[in-house]
Amino acid sequence: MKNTLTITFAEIKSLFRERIVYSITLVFILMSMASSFIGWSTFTTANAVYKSSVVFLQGQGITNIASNPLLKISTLTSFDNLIIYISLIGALLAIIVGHHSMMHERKSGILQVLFTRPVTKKSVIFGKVLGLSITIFSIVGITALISILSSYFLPLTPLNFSDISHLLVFFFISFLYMLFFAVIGLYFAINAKSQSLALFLPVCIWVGITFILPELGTGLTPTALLNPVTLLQLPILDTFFQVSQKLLAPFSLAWHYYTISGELLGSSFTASLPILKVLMKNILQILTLLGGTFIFLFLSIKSLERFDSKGDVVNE
Amino acid sequence: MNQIVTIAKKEFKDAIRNKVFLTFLIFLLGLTAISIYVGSVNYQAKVSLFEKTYAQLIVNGQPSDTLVKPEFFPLQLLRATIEYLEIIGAILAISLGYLSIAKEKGNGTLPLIFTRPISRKKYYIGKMLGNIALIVSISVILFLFTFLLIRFVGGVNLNSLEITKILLTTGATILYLFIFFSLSALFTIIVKHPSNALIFSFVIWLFFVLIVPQIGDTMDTDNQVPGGFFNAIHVNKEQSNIILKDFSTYEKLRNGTEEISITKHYERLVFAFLGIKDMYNNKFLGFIFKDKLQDLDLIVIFLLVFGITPVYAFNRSKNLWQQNE
Repeated sequence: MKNTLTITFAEIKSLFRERIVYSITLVFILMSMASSFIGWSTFTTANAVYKSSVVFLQGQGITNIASNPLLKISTLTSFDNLIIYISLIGALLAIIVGHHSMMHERKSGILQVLFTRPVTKKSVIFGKVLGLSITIFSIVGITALISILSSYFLPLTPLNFSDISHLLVFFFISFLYMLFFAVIGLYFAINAKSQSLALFLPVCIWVGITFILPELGTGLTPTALLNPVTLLQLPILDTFFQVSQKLLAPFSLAWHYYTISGELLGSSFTASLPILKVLMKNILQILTLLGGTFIFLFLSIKSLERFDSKGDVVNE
Repeated sequence: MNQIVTIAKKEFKDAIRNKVFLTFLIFLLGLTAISIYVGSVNYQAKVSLFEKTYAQLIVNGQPSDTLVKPEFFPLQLLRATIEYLEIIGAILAISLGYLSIAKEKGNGTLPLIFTRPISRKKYYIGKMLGNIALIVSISVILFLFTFLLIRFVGGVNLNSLEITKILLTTGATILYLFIFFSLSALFTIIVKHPSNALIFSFVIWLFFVLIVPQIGDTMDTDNQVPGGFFNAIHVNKEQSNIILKDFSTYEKLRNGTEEISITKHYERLVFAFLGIKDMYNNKFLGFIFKDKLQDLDLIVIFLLVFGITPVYAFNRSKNLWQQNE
């Protein structure tokens, strides 16, 4: 246990010393701030467009004017862009953090030295994963704090206790989602013979999970999958997509993440659902996400147990 | 000249032997097949929905003349393929640019190579030409595969105009991929540690390929409500254009955001060629070129900037002699 904690703290220190890690963390946090601003400016403009439309239609002699569709929008909809940014920048950041966590030690030969000490390979992995979890949790925590604070600085509808609780649960689910990618980054950093392959393979898996599996299950093209408004409003699905969605469910983690997040934050066509209801409804999806993380964690432990640090050479 | 050709040939052979390159090529071909299939299933679903609605209206004795039967335009099946090229094609190009420089940096072979009578400029141009040949091969293989899928699996005979449009799309794709190749090569040349250069390239890729177009898209007023904001308040296209004139600053900002992304220019140009944007369907090439000249110009500007900068950087960079991390 002591060894694991020592590795955990060393891991956190090492990650925060990496310029590339905190550069991307900064990009991620800035994008989260931008997300609130984009949500606010778009909502404000769309409201103003509605008012102008009413004046314009009245000028044309039309009296039967539809009510403002934006009034049905949930308070948390202005945070919808975060779902996309976390699935893009957050996941990539997590892969890089996971990659750095092991690749740095393989390249510098630290691993070889580490294994001469009385530490088990299991405790190395657990220490690293704990370090990764704390790092990612901190990044997500800062993002959550900024997002909640931004709602007080931007003239959005004030957030009540329920809204803040929904946001916090959303950020916790986002943390789990990012952790999954961090463990994938770690797994490939242990196994790949070259550093480039250790980065490209998890990126391929990420592209597959983010774009290909949802497309096969819904028919939505990659661009449509990046629009939080249209993302969760699916047309009636053809039999092909109904079947493929069921078959791909165990692997379609991005889609599960979009669904849970959409239900928590609400969208332009639904109000956000009560937290417990969302969690109960999506229990299988949450378990799938956790299951994916544990599978790659297990595979990482097995790979490290087989790992021979003496003959290890990492190519570019 | 001979030296450049020799280096280009070696670069081409090395890349073909590389697992990263092959993985991505197979991945892209698989995606092309999947996206064309999904596109056709989507089209069949639309037709089936139309037929059901039509039959229902007839049974109910209601007028059916407002219903428009979905038309089939085979090149529209390429929409998802193009979107994957924007995303994964760019990653493939980044991998080529990275590997092309990183392997020499990592092995420390450059000091040895430059003991031979070859200039740095010629050496980089040779590498660049080898990779251009590779990008051309990838694009040709991909669109040939697409053509064969449409022709023999879909059973659709493409006419000469449609084939020309596919060729133009291939050309635009080569230019687009070359920009990402050069960008990644540039980073690998100037950044001390090659792996950091790769991560920088990924961040730039993420920002300009995914985030910037996404911001532009989500800022669109009409995208705020499923089915369209203006549709929801019964305002047609002409009326919405008049209303949006009062919001020209916002629209300029939104459009300006999209314009900084090379991906958006590539997408606009290629979507016009393929008629994915309905207004370009069945239109002659002259009309499309005239309308999309600005996008083409910007692609060429990006190409010149990113094509030339690595040649200059390779000539000057001190970080090229950096050994393995």
